Amino acid sequence: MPKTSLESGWPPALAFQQFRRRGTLEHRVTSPTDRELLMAIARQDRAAFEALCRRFGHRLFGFLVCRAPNQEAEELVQEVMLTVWTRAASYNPALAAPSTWIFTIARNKAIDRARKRMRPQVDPHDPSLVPSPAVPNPDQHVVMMEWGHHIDAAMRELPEPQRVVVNAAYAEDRSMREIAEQQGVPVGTVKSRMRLAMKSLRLYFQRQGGPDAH
Amino acid sequence: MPIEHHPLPEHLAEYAAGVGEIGVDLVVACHATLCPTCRAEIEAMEQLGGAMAERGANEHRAGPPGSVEAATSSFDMDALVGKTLRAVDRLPVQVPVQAGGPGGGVLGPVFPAPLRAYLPAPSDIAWRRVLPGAARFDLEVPGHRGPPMHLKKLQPGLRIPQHGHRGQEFDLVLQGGIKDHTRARVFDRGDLSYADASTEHALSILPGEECITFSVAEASVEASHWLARMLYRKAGW
Ligand SMILES: [Zn+2]
Repeated sequence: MPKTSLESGWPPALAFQQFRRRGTLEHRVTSPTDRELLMAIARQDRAAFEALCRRFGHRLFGFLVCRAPNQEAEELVQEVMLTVWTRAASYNPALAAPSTWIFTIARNKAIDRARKRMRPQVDPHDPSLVPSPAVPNPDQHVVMMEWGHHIDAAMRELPEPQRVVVNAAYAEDRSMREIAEQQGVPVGTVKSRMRLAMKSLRLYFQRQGGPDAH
Repeated sequence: MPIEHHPLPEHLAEYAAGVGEIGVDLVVACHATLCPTCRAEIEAMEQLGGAMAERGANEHRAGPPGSVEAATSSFDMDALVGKTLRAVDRLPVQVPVQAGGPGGGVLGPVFPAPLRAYLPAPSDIAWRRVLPGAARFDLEVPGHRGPPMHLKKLQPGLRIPQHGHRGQEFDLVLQGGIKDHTRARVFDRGDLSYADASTEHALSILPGEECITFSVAEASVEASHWLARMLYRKAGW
């Protein structure tokens, strides 16, 4: 097997497992998975980083150019990829597919740009931070779900008014107040729909058995 | 002691969607600094936004030619890769924040980082005494038009008589503790006391430490007794 920079750090058992799952040798060598690329980037592998940039560049640009003029969208793509580089080590495969994780970063960048201000965020280096327990409790495990694989099915299960609210907030970046105006209902109604939607989405993923089920 | 009183799911959802107001966003970010459970919840909700963004991007690619396609066709991948790799080389080495560093001091860890960004150094906080045993500091955020934000500093043992609320009020406890006599609850560091127009309660500050809260209030409180009402008005609560 020709050695690429990506494979240098693999534990043999894991590499073999990956190889078995992918089936063919060519496929394994020519196209590492997104997850493999992220793991290599976590070890500061520049070749893997370049490969990931090339794989996601167009899609990220397509998403961001709907929210910012061309030039700014290009800068945002670059910012997203820089964040991927600095945070790759904290990527948690139990929580999200690599592409979902990358698009979450992109979405947050787009939001900050629209608000012209950084959203207040938890600082992982904050001395005030209360660390997460080493073993997540069972309740917490429930929320560690992979939206990416189930999002359409989960959304279809929501009653129409709840689906509209979730979609307006998460896909159209609208505030509760804006949604209330758009829908002609009180803000309290929008909030309770959001609350019910979050509850149903959680239950849905709980029924799916979380990320380990698929 | 584990945190028992969390933000409501819609506040977490609004924060995660990135559509909340700065005051409540600050409350949520500070609570999440102290509460790993809510932090995980927010992360999961943010992935929902990411999944929807990803779906949108894939649909654009599959869809008929349009303005997005025109824009993406002008996209220069090699230039992006080159610029990004050069930027990676210029990245500064991450230096972890030190307890007691800038904006720290003895009170450093009391205020979580998201809030420290909006505060002067703890020794420079100009506390304004509003009642015996109670002081307040108003946060000024340029361009902010949402509900006002402030810190409260309350003496141990202080009793706050029965009162109602004209709007939503968030009180995040950062030091010391509060007992809610009406709802029979205790709020410690990291706990969030949420009140709205339907909440009427009497409080007292737990003995021991001074209690410090970060508060966001849509409207002033409405004391149930005329004397307390007069006091509150004077205090500007
Ligand atoms: Zn919490």
